[in-house]
Amino acid sequence: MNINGAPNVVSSLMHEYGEATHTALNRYLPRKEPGRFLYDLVADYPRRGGKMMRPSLCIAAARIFGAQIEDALETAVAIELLHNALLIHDDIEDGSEKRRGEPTLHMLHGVPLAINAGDALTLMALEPLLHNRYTLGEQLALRIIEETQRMARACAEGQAMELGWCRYNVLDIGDADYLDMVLKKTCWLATIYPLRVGALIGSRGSVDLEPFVRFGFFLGAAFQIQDDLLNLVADERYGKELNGDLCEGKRTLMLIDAFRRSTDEERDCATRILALPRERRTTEDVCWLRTLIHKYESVEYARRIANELAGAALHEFSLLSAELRDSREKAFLERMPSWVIERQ
Amino acid sequence: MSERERLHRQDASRTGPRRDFSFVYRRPAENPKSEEHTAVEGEQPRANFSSPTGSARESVELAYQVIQKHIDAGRRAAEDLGENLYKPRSASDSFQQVLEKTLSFQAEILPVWLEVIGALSKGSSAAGAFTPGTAADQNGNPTAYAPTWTVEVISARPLEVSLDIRPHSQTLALATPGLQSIDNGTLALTAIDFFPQHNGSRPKVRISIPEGQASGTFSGVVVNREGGEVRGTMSVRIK
Repeated sequence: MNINGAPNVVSSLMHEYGEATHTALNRYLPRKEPGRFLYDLVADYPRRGGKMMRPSLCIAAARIFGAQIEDALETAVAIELLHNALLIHDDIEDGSEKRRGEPTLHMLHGVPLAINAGDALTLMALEPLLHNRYTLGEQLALRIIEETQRMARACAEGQAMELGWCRYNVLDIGDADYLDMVLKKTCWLATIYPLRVGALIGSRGSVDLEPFVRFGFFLGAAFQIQDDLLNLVADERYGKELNGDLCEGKRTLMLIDAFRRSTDEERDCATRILALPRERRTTEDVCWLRTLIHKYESVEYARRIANELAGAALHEFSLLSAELRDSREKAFLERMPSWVIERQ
Repeated sequence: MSERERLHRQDASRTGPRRDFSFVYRRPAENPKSEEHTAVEGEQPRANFSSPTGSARESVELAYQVIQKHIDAGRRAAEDLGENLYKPRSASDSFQQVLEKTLSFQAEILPVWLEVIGALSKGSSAAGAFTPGTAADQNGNPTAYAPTWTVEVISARPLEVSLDIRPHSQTLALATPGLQSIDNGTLALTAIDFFPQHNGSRPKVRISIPEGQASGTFSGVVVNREGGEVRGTMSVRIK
């Protein structure tokens, strides 16, 4: 079997590792009171499923260095719990209405209960990280907690940048600013952190983690741009509200590019629309922004950048994996750059 | 078809996929392999991705600048903290030292986490990193997750226990030849029994401290009775 050429290695491995993570994760979701007001809410987003990309990256990164799945499972659970916790808070901050094809948690239960459920999920993610002491030893468990706090800080910084740009209608944003924001807001939790802690576990802390920052950044940035693209052009399988980013006034690469190419009149109009709070931004406003993006072919521009970043990710992976033996996990990581830009 | 009509394709300049994108994506000064690479004329990167020319190349260079700036900033922050998060590190730091650094580093951002990890820190200094019963809930019932090792201590004095056992050792018949102190003349700790995992139960280690045992730190290896290979280390600090 030519494992490197296996076309479905990404989906099959994500399914396999996703199942393992989900089973382990369920052990951390309490079934007790107050269920209606807390634990049912806590279990809601994890129950809805998801791609399980983050835990799969973690387990695969551990496995390419020879670890067993079980070695990385607790950390994979923590990653998924943290991811879901941040989703709850992100949805509130962004005023999002749909998540994984269903109403967001705060739409179902109100903002206070949703915030509380997000807080609880964040704290619950600590439990598997602490349990790592028993399987990985104290030093490695603490290294993983160090990585976790670093990731949490980056996430908060990135989220603050994006929210601040919207809140204060900042529009003098370049591609570098966007990439810096995405690096922090998306890449750390989605790709860099899972890869780094996976490599830590697999190598028992002996491998240089810097190459995983580069690989994770290019992979995560391509992933985010593709996600922004899907928000404009995807069908109902997407699971989030179409044009949601434009409704929220998010500074996507498409919007930044279109704004950069606009005439003075168009810029004035876009600035006025983006200065409005979300609830006052009309469907016509959103359509106007969308037309502007299409007029300047900014979707194609963003798609090209995503492709190039995926190419850079593949290049970085080829450097860091040159000495590693062939395996299903290596093939999986090698295919990930293609997968992130091909997914629908 | 005659020989004259047959079309002959030129031999390919290469016969396998090119995986070294170094000359395209990373600046030569940053790439240790760049000098070794000799680009074949007309060679294109993998078909999945755009050709990195013009604005395409600029965007990747821009991305490299962003990530390098981030890595440099992280390295400086790590150096300010007195440790290098980016370099492979030996596992010789003490649990307490690493924990304290972690606490100080995250104190600004995650106060809720701090409370939980702070509680762990206090627990580790007072009663050892592996306190019996840590896997039980408030009512004393075991939680759904069973940690690999339970440590049972029979002692009239406070002590810290540190156990570092390799994964997948819980079903083995483990033993320790005794934990020694570096102070000459101090009796070794020998009353240590390992109970492997059985029928879903958690593996357990029982440590008995005899009356009159001297204070100090006692360390030693944990071995597999069958074969004698080392499966981990153990350390007990008696206060």
